[in-house]
Amino acid sequence: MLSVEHVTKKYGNFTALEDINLVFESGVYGLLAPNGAGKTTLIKMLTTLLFPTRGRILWDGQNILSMGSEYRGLVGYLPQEFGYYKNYSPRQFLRYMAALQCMEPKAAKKRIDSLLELVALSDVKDKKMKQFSGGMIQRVGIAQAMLNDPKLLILDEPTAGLDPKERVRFRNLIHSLAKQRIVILSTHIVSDIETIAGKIIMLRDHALYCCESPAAICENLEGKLYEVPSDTALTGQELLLSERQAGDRTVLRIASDFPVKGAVPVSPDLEDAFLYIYREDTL
Amino acid sequence: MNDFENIRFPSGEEKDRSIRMILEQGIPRPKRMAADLWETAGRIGFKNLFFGVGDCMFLALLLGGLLWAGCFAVMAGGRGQLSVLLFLASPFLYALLHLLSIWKEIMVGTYETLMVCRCSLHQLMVLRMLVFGGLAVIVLVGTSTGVGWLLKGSPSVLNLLGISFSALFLFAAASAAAEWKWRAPGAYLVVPAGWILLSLVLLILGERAEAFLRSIPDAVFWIAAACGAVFYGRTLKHYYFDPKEGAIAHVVR
Repeated sequence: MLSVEHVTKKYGNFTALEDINLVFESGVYGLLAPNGAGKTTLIKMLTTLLFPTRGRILWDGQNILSMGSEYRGLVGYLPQEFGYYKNYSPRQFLRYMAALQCMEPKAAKKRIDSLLELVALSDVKDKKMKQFSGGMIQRVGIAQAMLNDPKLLILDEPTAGLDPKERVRFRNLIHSLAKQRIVILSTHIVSDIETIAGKIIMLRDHALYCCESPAAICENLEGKLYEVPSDTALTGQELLLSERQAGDRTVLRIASDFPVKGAVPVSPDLEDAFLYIYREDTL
Repeated sequence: MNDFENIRFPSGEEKDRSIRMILEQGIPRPKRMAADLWETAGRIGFKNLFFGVGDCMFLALLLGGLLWAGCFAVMAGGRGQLSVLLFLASPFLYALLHLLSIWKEIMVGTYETLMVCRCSLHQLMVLRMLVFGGLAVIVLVGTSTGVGWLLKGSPSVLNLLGISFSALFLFAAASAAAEWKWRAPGAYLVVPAGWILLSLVLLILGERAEAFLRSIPDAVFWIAAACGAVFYGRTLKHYYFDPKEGAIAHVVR
């Protein structure tokens, strides 16, 4: 179990994160917030790349900073911009990463072969990575993060730069990897996590806004969401969230605390909740 | 009969064993860098120690070779300030190998990924520094002996080696200390920048700097080299064991 206790991170006078408290148990956690909200800072503290200014992060009751390499051995990490050596093949790169994870060469070879199979790169395992697309590189990134069969898998904006097809494939892959481990997936794209995350962590104003299931988050918006024709004039009490195509016409999705005349009440989804919660940031 | 009479109390030997175990687990073991490094090097293997940075090593050796060839020609011809050149050029190969390998990891974006591995880039860098240091020592022994032989013992090989080693170890110790103390990624550049500045000053001073270095007894250079080596070792130990933030880019404001 991973617990974050009263963690604050400051850079000089700038507070990136303030008094964060979280507990992670097995399952997928979506870290959802707009850019600049502190997602990457939190991720980097969970990976020991940054140290909290105040507070502590514990793995099974032990401070992760004092655990050192023992903790790093439990972690699989895919950074926001995954770097690779373009003149090497994925197999060579993964062998190197396995050595740095202190894996036995025989076990590493087996694991690399099965992971390359899992991420559908077996056919190109000996090709230089400079020939790979963004999606293929990202799959190499996933494979390297999974090498040591981590108890804690941390993925920072893993779908950035992927096309829609790659994105769906990636979601399915994460879903299949999520058993018996903590997966923390940071993103600002709602569709990346709404179907696979058991809990959504939201950060707002550099503090924790909520850590709840997608259903519980949507519930807060129940009875407040409507669809109106696109030519409807909105009042100050009605908040435009998004628009969508309904057959051959466009409708507006709005949030309002009061019933709206002529509007159709609809059930909120996570995207509506995201847009509602971050309305000042997004509108 | 009282209940406590049924309790089986541990024997003296069992008590001692338990105390020993508690002490073993409770008292932190002294940190031994050499043993730890040896174990790490054995685990990752020599080939993996330089994975992905072969091009940097080639470039550093090429540039180092060119610089040394130039210096060697100047020294062998009896032109220029021999001691000044030797002092300034001695850390060049080490600095170039170290800087280029870090620069490459930052540029290709592997720096942070490797920092989160069980054997982190931090540990890898210490191992690389030691190998680069060893390589630099071999080059310096070869060059100093060669120059000494060409100049027929004036100045002596001992003097040339003293100058080379003192410069190398002082540079290496200062750069390891800078990287250990300053957490910003730019810390890698502080000492090389300082060394370039020192080089300019010594080259501008020319003969006066040469005369000053020649006036220093060999023993002083050797003591400086020994102190530099000890300081380097101690700093490297702190650098190796002290937890250090490994993030390159910190925050998006």
